[in-house]
Amino acid sequence: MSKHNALTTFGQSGNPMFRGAAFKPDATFAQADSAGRMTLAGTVNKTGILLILCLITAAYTWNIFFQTGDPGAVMGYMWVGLIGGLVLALITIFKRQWAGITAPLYALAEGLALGGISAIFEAQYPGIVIQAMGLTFGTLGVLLIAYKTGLIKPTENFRLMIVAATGGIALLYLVSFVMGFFGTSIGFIHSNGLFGIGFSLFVVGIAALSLVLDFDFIEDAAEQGAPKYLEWYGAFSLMVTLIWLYLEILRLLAKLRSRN
Amino acid sequence: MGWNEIIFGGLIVIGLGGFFFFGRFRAGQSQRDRDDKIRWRKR
Repeated sequence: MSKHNALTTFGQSGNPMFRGAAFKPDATFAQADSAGRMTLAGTVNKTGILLILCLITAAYTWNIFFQTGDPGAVMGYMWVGLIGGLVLALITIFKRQWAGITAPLYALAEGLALGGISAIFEAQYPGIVIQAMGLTFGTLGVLLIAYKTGLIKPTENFRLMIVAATGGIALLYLVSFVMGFFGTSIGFIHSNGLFGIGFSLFVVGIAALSLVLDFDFIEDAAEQGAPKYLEWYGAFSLMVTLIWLYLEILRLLAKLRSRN
Repeated sequence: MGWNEIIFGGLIVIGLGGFFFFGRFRAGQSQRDRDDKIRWRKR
């Protein structure tokens, strides 16, 4: 398979957020006047709004857990957050014009799930949540500077690598999830052995490099004068990656702590 | 407040501060003027 055939096949069938179609010029590009165009500052501000919304609902489930001390008390909120977040993410990906409404709702839903998950991890390994948050936002800041200064230059091959690796990881998690119904699983994914930790490190690396794709995606859209609603879409894609990165760092730290 | 909160809390502040500050500026010329950029709009 030639390089371009591979790109056509895998590049288009990977994560829908990274499909080129997301920024394919349509009628709204031509209609957008200078005030109605996407800007970098607008996208950064909207990412801030989504982070605050996520934090509010996360604090809610976090408090419920620590008031009751019962994981069952937050389980319902977590499932609502996970399933609601998945549905809202799919709607946002396929109806990006609606991102101004669906992206904030997605952030609220994910906050419910993240607050519960974080509280359960914190109860087992005190101090782990602030470590995971510090490493997540530290990675965000460092990679943004590396991208802006041109230290990391994303290319089509880079995108192909990230999309293929993300697809492989998603498939592995899906298989493990289905195997769970039959009382078994892919052992190394959850193990705290060297192979399990190596796998987690690899996944954290891929999630972190996905941030670079998001930066490039946002930069290019703002440069091309994309319509204003894509600010919400850009902020949404950053949130999806940040949440993934945070959860993977949390898992990695938990594996490391469980070895002590 | 222990060292864990000071170190990782500081990392949160620096990371988010860096994002909200540098995120508003365009990428450098070496990043923007390349032939091998990802063509997000041409698929």
